[in-house]
Amino acid sequence: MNKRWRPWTNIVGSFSMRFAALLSLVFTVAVLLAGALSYILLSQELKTRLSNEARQMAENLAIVYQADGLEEVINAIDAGVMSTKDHSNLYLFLDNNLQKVAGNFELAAPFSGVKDISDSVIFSGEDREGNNQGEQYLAFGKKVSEGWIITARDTSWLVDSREVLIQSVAWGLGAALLLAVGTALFLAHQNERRIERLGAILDSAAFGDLGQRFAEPGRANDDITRIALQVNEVLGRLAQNIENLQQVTTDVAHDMRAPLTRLRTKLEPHYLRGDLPKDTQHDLQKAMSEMDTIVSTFDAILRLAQIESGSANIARLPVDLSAICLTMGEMLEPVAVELGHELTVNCGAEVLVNGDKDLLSQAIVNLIENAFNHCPAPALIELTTGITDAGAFFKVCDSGHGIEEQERTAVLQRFYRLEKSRSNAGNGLGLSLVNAIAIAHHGQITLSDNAPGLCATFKFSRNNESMIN
Amino acid sequence: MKILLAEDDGETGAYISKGLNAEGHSVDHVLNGRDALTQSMTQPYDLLILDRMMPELDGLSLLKALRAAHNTAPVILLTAMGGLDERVDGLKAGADDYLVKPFALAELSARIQALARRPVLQKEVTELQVADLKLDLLTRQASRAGHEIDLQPREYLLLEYFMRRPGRVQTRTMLLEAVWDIHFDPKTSVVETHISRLRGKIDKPFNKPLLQTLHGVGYVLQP
Repeated sequence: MNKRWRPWTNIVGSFSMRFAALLSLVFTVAVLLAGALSYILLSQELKTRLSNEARQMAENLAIVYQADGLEEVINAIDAGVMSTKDHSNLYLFLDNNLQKVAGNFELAAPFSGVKDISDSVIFSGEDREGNNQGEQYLAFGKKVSEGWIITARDTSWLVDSREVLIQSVAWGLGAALLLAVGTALFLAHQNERRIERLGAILDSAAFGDLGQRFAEPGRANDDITRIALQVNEVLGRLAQNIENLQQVTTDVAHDMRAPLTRLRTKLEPHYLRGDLPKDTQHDLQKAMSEMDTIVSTFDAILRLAQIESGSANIARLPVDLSAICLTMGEMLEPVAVELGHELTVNCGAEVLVNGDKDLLSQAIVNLIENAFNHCPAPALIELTTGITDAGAFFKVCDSGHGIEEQERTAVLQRFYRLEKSRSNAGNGLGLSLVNAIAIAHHGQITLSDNAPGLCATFKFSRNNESMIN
Repeated sequence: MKILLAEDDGETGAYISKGLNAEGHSVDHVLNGRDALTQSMTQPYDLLILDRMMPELDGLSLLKALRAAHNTAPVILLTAMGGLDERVDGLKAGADDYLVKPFALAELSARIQALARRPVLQKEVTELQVADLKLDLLTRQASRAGHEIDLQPREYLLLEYFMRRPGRVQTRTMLLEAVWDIHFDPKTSVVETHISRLRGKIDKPFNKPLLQTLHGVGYVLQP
């Protein structure tokens, strides 16, 4: 079996790949949903914590105010400002006239409770143009008798945390997707190759080689292995059946030919004596020729059975179809003349196919002899070889009566004979033998109207090119 | 010729022996493969005729054993199987010829003749002659009694085949195999027609016909 390059479209279209793609999609959506949920929960949690912290700071200052008065609060605020020069914490004491008493920022309007003051915070003094402009702050305002205590927490790290979360989800998802798609492609490719091997085994089985089996030592059982095992079993049974068939044909052949041989040995010496009355001599000759007909019909049935069952070893060698046609045409041309027909052979350029020279010769001879038998003389019979885009072919066209369209498939069946030609010589196996030979060569026989007459075309498919063992 | 015939069917064997004896051969007839092996190992034979299906030891295995023991006597295999691979299998195993049952005794005897006197390649021969019929192998020109005869390529091959075997019977199947290389039987009278054409050229215009028909047997180019 020759190795063929598998295009990626096959893998993409394969079941495993589609399954993997679907799984990856579901996985992605799930990760995104989980990410979004974490984002919301984390944001809320952090926000609550920060507002609690801001509140705690304000409450602490309020307790100091209650216990020790304004002076101590201002000291506490100054200490806080000193220790958070990066403005991560903000402090402000506004008196009842909305004048800043202490703190590290300014605010136009005081408030009570939690508030986002990112838009309204103004830094005082040297910080006016500082780095913290534009930062996010969550503030808590508390009214005391001499004014407002307002504290705030920098929430920019909340934003940072969110970014970290989004980034880690994105990176994680990307890596996981890459891994998933990679694994899926690898598995799909492997499965595709296994299915291809299984297909190749079935292909060769279809053309008679029943000896191949699907084997994967050491691989765990999966769906493909299970199907492959079944295929192996079926092939084994088929091989056994064919062997039985061969045994039967061998036995029948032997048991039938032995008495026929004896019969001939009884008849022949009398036939060869030459001193018998002419009538007796004639009858003897007739009897022997009838016997030859029995033998040849029997041979044809055997041959057909062997080709159809794939038990015949059919050669798969490159042969020039045109050369065979020329030889067979030349062989039959005098016979055509004798019968009052005209046989033309159009076999010029070399047409290479892989096949069995003997069988192809027989197919050509059968088709031409068929035309001889079924066309009233004088008929024009034409043998042609050629190659089209679909593959190589040879055809035999005649100018006889042709075959009705509805009967064209039936005549390829064994022992089928057209009613109008039943009186003609032949056993009704000629065309079915040609048909079997065509199938054994990955080809087919088509019968078409030649207006008037019949064209029998033996077409090789492009697959024929890969037939060389 | 001293011939060993291994044929398990007594009646057929007796008939063949009788026929071949009548033609001047001396025939030993055995009924199974093992006797055939013993017999052929102890006595020299000019030719072995082996039935393919025999009790004890089948013809094909017997043939392989003989060839392995460097017994080079020509072998004709007789078979009840007319299958596609049978002939090839037989020839591969070392048979020189192959005959499917039932066959005409004349067919067997013609094939024995052919094996006994296989044409030896004589390189120096450039012309064949049978009576007044000549064939120049270099110019591929035939002539009879000084008159040139135009032959088609296949007629030339057919005539050359006969002229290399003068006086020896050639059966229809032998001619199909040798001249057209086909191993099946065309239903139409291919051989008869070609012989008749050849006759028209080499015999008809002349007094004495050389290419004769033996009815039910074959053809012979008689000097």
